[in-house]
Amino acid sequence: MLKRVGALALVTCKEGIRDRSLFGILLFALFVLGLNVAVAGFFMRDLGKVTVDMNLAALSFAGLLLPFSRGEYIYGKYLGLVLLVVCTLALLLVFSTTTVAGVNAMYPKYFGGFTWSVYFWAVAFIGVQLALLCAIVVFFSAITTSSFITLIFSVATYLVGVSIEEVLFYLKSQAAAGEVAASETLRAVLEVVAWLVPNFAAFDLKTEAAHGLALEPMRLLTSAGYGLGYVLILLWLATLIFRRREFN
Amino acid sequence: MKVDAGNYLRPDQGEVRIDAQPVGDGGFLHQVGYLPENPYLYDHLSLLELLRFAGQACGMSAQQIGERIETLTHQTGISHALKQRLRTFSKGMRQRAGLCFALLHDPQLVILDEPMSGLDPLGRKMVCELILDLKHQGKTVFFCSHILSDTERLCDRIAILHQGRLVREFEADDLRAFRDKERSLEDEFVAAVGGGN
Repeated sequence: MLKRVGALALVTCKEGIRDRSLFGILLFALFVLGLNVAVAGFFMRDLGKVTVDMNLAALSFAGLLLPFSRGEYIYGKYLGLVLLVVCTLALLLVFSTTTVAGVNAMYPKYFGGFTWSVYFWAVAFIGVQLALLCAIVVFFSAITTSSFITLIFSVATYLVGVSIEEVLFYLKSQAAAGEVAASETLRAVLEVVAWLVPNFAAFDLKTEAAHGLALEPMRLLTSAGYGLGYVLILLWLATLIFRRREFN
Repeated sequence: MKVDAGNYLRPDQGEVRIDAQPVGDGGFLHQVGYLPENPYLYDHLSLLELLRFAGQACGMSAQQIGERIETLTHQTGISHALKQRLRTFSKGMRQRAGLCFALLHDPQLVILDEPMSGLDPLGRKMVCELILDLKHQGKTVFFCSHILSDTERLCDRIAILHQGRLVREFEADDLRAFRDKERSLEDEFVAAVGGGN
């Protein structure tokens, strides 16, 4: 079973790498990278787009003509997408690390608290964030045959995921200042919602990387566990839905 | 066909069994080769990569895969295009590639949806020979076609579907009469579907 899922993942990744639109996005990304040293923030924005664009290739059903069970198919496609994102991330990492090292060498006084270990942890968590985004894309692809609807839902979920923490922060600060009336119940509900929707802020280590702040092992562990748990639940739900899908 | 080939659709009523096994996620899929009417194949892969993937997905060894690729691509006349990407294939070549994809794991039951679609006369002849070859190997071939002369020539049993319903079935005696020109399948077809109304 693993061999078969692996074969499907490799084919999905290969198909994605050869897709010209991916190369276009990658070239554009590299161009912007030359102008941008705010590496972590940049990564997330553009790779997010790449991942969602890859939805179009994500669930093309050629593999279903082969003796895959529906569950194997979902996991194979998901792993293929993740593999593709890891390849792209690795490529961008080479360029971004070169850029950061170059700027660091030229202007060392601006990199006082900078440490490479925190920087690479931040990159690793961008990887976790993208793996979650891939699971969201696969989940919505299992629900609908329309790639446009998948795109809209995935982008909407992503936007909610990246902004929910800020909404909470805003609400709390405004309530503390007495400018808005937020009941305890509302705040409790929002706290729960912030963890129910994929909370991308949990993986955001940009601030720590930029300022060279120390990372707490517990925070890394909790965030990684949250991401992995979320991915597994999404894939399980996607499999359940996909088993019931009919293909005209 | 989509119900038989692997539960792509569910029946409104009843149950489909192949070799006494209900159609579903079970292992019987290894025994089925399916070519849809408009197969989506991975456009950015070469034919060789596509067929290797099909073999790996079916749990075949590298040697078996190599041998089957050689046999099938020669039989379908596309061995020259093994390294070519599928996006560059014509409609007829895609159809041939789809046939290789469906037959690579040497299935016992072969389901072909309009296998002659998009093929030139040479291609049609090749598919007919391929189907006859499968038949001689003792495989079950289940296909649909609007080309009555081909069905008349190839089939042991023929069924006419009209507006989603089975309206006529022909068995060995009928087929013998068609081949001896005592009756015509075309006339039977027109009569069965109500003269085209």
